Amino acid sequence: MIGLIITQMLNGLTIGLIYALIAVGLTIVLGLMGVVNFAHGAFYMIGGYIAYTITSSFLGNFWMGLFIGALVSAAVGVGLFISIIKPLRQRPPLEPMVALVGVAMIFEQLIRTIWGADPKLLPIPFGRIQFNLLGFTFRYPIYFLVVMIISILLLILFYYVFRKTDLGVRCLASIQDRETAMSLGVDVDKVGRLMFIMGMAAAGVAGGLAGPIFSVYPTMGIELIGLVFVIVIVGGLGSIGGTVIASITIAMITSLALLFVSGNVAHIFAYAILLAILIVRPRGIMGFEKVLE
Amino acid sequence: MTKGSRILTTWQGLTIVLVALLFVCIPLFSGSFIIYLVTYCLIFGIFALAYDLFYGYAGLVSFGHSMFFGMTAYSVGALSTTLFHVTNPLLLLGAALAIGALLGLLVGFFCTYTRGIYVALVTFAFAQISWLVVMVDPGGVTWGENGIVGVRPGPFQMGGLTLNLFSGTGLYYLALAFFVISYLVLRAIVNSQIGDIFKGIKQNEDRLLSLGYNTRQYKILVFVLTGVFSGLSGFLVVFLDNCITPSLVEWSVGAEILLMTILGGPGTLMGPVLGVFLVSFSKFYVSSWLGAGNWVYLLGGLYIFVVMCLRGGILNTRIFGFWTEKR
Repeated sequence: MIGLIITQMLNGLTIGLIYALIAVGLTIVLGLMGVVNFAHGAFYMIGGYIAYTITSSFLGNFWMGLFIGALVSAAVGVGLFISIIKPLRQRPPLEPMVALVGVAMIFEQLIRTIWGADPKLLPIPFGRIQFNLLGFTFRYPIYFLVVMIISILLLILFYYVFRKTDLGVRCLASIQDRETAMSLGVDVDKVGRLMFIMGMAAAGVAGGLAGPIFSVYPTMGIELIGLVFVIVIVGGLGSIGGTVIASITIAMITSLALLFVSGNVAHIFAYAILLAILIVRPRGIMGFEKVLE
Repeated sequence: MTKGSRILTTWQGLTIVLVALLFVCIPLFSGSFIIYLVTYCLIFGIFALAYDLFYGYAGLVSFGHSMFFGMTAYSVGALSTTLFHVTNPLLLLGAALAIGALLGLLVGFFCTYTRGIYVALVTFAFAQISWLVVMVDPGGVTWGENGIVGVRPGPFQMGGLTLNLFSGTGLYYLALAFFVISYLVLRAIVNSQIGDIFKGIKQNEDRLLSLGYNTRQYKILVFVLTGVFSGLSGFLVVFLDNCITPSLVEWSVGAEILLMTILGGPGTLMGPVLGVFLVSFSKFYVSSWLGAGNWVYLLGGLYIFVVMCLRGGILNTRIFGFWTEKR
């Protein structure tokens, strides 16, 4: 039983890091632009499908798939930003949200048209590793460890850009007080575009990484987006640290709950956490005060 | 003109008479499919009215109205089929409205801890929870993925009169009656003093707070009202197809009603209903013409188009000025 719990915790950590990769982009765009990107899941899906196609094609290289998936996601992200998010940025938040629901629907149907409705599964690459921990012997897939390392590296990169570079500081300032930042000469549109591209690329990588674990299917984006919203709110809008903590906590709790109950019940727990957080601390565990209220 | 003595302009009166006549006569000259489709639109029209009170008047945004709609439908199913065997339609109706109000109270209680876009996300979370609960099927109440079938009660009997109210033409007139009642009640509400407070919440909640209004109570009241009327449409939709499936609770149902509201013109009550008719008719006809998959492209494109190019919705455009002009 303890062995099973440890395995589930490792799984939870892996999945939580994937969630974090998806959620950082969403939280920054939401905090910065005030746009609820319902199409965010679509980018996760695009990354997953492109990575699947490249990996299973003659190229057959997992890394190549991951890279091109992220690239395509970022490119589509630029298009979306210019065509829809930027023109609608000044509107009340509901309006871009509705347009983005439309975008999400179109992408989902596009995927169905191109790849078909049935799930596509890649074999998990790299085999398994055997190790001893607390007197138990585990055979754990190396791939999960690879996923953890890649996600952690990317999250550190995100954190570095966000906290240490000029771009990140401008972004942070705009999230905390947009009017003041703009009057001091921050080009919120430009900052938003760069952050949006980074977020979409991260979502694309997350999709590529998740493909061999969950398989890719046309509703993968929309299924996940609800949970990612939970993570973003629990973590606090515009906070990378809070988002990472929230995603790992929620993924851990759901994957541990999986030992005792079914997947759907485990997800109910995640939403219950959201409601509890909202009552105790409406701005999330590490959110700034008065963002988007 | 004082508030109590609002009268309609000639054009508005004429429109109402013509449209009412048309709707009463529809079953006389059209086939069963058209009757079905119009019944569908009327039922979702009640849902759209409920959503317009919430979004168009009180300015709150919800992505979880499918919960009010679907969960009341499931409560009807649980009472009549899976848990108990209640056959009295009045009892079912009462239960559906009560469940709608309770859900509104519950969601409103949680949502009023937050404001703005967070409300949309919290309602979305509630919709997801209800969908998950339905899929989990606790205690055999919802029958999981299969849904509940065969919930239609028998003909309604009153004295020597037998009325087949829950299928075909009977259901049509039932839906029409409920629609007219809902419209009149909601119109009275939005034109009342409470309605003014709702509009005030949309325009500037902080000012209302500083004037001493407890806006939280009023917002919870909006949730309860929208829950009751969504519950009414959830009650009716059960009999339309004689089955209750998890797809009624899916968040996309709530998203679609939101689109129809925005398309038709929020804050006009009739606009969202117009949106329902437009989207539903084009859905049935276009999807048979283009194929169901391509319909999704069109619907998605419509969402984008309405937001980008049609601010304020159809009923707020100049052509319909005669309807929306201040009386």
